Amino acid sequence: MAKPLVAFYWCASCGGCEEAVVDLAEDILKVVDAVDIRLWPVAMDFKRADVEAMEDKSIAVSFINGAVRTEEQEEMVKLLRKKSQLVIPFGACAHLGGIPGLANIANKKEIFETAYKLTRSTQNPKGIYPQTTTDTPYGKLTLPEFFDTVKTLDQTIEVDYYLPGCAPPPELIMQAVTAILEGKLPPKGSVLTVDKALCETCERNKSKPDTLAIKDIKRISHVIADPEKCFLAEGIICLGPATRGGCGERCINANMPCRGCFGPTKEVKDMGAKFLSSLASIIDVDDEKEIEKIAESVIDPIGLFYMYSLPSSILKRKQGV
Amino acid sequence: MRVLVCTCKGKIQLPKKDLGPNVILEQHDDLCKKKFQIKPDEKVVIAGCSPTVMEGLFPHATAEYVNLHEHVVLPGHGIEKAWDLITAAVAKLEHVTPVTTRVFPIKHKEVIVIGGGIAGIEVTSQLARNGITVTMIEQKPFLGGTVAQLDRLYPEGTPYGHTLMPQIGNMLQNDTSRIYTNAEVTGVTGTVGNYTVSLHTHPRGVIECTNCGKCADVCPVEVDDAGKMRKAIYYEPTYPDIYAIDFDTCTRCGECVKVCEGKISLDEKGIDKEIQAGAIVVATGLAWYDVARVEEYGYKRLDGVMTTLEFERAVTSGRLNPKKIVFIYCAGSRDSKHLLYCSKICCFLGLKEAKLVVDRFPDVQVYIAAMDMRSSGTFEYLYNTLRERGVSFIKGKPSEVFQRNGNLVVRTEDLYTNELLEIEADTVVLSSGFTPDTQTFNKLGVRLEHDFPILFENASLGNMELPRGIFTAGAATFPAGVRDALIDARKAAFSVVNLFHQDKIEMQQPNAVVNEDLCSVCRMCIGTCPYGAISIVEDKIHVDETLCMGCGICAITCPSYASQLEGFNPAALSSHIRALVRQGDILALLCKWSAYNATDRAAYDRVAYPQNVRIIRVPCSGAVDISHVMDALQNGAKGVLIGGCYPNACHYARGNFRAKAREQILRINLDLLGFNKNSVRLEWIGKDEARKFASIVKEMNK
Repeated sequence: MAKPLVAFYWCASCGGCEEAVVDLAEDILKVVDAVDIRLWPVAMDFKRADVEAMEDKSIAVSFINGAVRTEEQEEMVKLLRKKSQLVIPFGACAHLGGIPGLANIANKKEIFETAYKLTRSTQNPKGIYPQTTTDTPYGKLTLPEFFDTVKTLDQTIEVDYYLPGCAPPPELIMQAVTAILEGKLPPKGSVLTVDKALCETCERNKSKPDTLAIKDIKRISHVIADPEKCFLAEGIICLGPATRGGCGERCINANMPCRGCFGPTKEVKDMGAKFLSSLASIIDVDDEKEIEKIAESVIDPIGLFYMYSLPSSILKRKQGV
Repeated sequence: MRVLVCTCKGKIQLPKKDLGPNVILEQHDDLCKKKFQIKPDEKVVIAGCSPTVMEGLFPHATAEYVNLHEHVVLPGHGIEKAWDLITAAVAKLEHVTPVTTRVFPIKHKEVIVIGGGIAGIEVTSQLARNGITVTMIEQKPFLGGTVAQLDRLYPEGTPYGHTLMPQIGNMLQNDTSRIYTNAEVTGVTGTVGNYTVSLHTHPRGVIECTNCGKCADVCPVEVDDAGKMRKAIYYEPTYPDIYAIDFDTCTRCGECVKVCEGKISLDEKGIDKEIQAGAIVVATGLAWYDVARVEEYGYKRLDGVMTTLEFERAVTSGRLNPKKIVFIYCAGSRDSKHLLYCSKICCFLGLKEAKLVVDRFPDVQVYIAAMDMRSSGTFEYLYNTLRERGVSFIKGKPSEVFQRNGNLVVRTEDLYTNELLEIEADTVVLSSGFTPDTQTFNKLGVRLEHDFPILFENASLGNMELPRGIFTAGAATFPAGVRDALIDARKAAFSVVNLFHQDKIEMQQPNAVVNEDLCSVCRMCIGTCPYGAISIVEDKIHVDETLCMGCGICAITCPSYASQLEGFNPAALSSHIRALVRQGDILALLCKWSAYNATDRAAYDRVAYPQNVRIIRVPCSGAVDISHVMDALQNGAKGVLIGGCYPNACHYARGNFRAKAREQILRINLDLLGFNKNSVRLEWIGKDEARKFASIVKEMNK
């Protein structure tokens, strides 16, 4: 019997998700035994034309990592959607927008200006920016359009499941692959991890007092966190209570608070807004001026509360630019 | 789903319109006067008068109220607004989790009365007369409360015993009451119909007593008990007829044991007990404000400065023979550093004591320095009598009391004569106000406003019951004299009798419910509950439905929405907002206790505000999630106003401060996301501040 065809594709991403596949180590052999990898730009040489030539729905599952930032990415994911039975956003960027999604606090113009003109190492006195078409004596050159707004995969195409994480841990990848091969999949739209927040399995939750009450917010870079204690109890922002578990608490075990790469739990639409609502409840100060001071003490709140989820939030991006 | 529209006797006529499948529109002439059959699990939109009026009429409905009368008809907003509001209410109800009807059987038709003063005694008598068993818990060794400490009662100087003793006698006529003195309530669990009250009885020391009084004769310890001297073992002629040892001052010398004709034990242990009851009456009476906090008056620092109670007791027991007295009124009352309110009865108390002292010592010189003399009702006669008898009234608030040449000096202004005075005196009496018994109220989950039970402020609502089988009587409700305390006590007894006529009561008050499939036991919610209703039971978050008051603060705190308030779940609110708010609108999320009422007030006072202000009633400003503000902004709202109670007036303790923290954090984020950060505002809007509400929304609408 022919093995099911699988595609791996990357969009706006750092390459960490590709690493995560490699991190399967010996397990990758089991995967290769069971499936036929038909597209994997980082490791294997297939062209777009090869995908176009395939019959619709002939790929069993496409794992797509990275957010959608350019026209080319948009075209490719639409093509893959057409050719695949299942599409699974792979990792935080495809799932929620991820780190590249933080670019939504700027637009194309601002990004180009910074990247191609204003940075100290750039010399661009004529102000030349990338264009989608450029006429040269040797013919017309084209580049994909760079969008103003970074989108998640499910804002671009219909998707079936989500594999969360920055990057998804190997155990979850193997679980997902096994579930697909065995046809034991949960309802469409599920995130392929547990439903409850990280605190459920976090060892440090035991040290959390019943009444959380913080009087000031500390930065992890300014204090030495007690490796046994709940970060929130110490006044260090940890998004664990608002983030899906199943990650294996990799950050916590390295004495770093959770930053939310697994995304919000089931009922929550806007992770940052939800966590902010929760955090405000445990600020134990009754003086209006003091409250203002604490709120202002958070440096880069968008980067902290929406580190991975800005494009998937209710407001999606900075307005009016 | 049914949409019940009140035409207000034909004044509102809505054209027939399709509200979607499964939605039936009914128009009625007067919704407020008809009896409707509504099934417990039925969802209804009730469009008529303000929800403050209507919700009392539909107690068993998972209802969304559309305020047609105050938000559309009276402000003269168009009929299309009515449709918008109704459509949005339907959209909300489609996603709403129903409010569970909880049935509370009245299991124990017995009552616990906390406090054995005049009010507690009256409640007990009245209930006993109706055949109801009462357990009275009194903190002191003897009944009688404040009345028993006084020498006489105003306005006529009736000896305290003439009023109190018949009351006690009446109460003891009925054998359906149990009385615990020297006892305090240590915990309360349960709910209406089925409370369990734990109490601890402190040792009395005297076990058997013949009332011979030899013990007090031999006791070497002299105690100054609020101006009157007694021994460490003592007796008060109220109830019970057994001496008691004041173990705070007793030296355990054993002299009393030697002469006792009955039995005294110096190492008796306290007793813990649990009592079941169907209702609790709080009659904890008056607590005097600690006047030592008004440092400039020198109480406890200067000899001769005393409280009104000490003065009355010292003079009438013959210990004090004053020549020149200054009464300082409002000592620590109506003062931004102390009590903000007027305690209502202290003016009368002072007048009574001035009368007492001029009667007793004809040559005494008495000054009363008062910002205002509030001698309401017939007390004006007493005031006039005292003026005729030569008491000097000074209009002013003394700035200081100090000592000079062995005399006390009161420095004050007199606004009648526009003079600065320094009055020398041997005695200065500080007339202080009274404080609420917040400790007991908090233990019982009674909602407070300005620290007093909310019922006091909202008596006009006609609902004389505090939440769930708890009633107040007498000065615990608000400082009161004997007459008012007795009236209040009868009201409380009447409410209990009313309650006990039923075998069960059904309540459809929304509770927070926890979805265990989503709850990670992160504990963020526990400390946010103002009533301590949330705890961990067997490694799971547990909401005690008998304590939950439905404020929704825990639900908004939950980072997973595992805890949700029935009838106010985030998905429902979100669809409500999305259906209601359009491009350029202003969303006003208003606390049902304060700001929302200001919009009704605006309707009555014809205070105009723009039609694009979309109003949603929320249980508390602290129950507004940032996501909901985001929903509105994404729908194109020009601004979002969150209206809450003033600081320290939140009906759920600290809900408004939590809202404040959310607003601050949100504004910073909105700024970074390209919104005008002033487009989201949290404002304290009192229930009558229609103009404030209107001017805020107009400003936001610019």
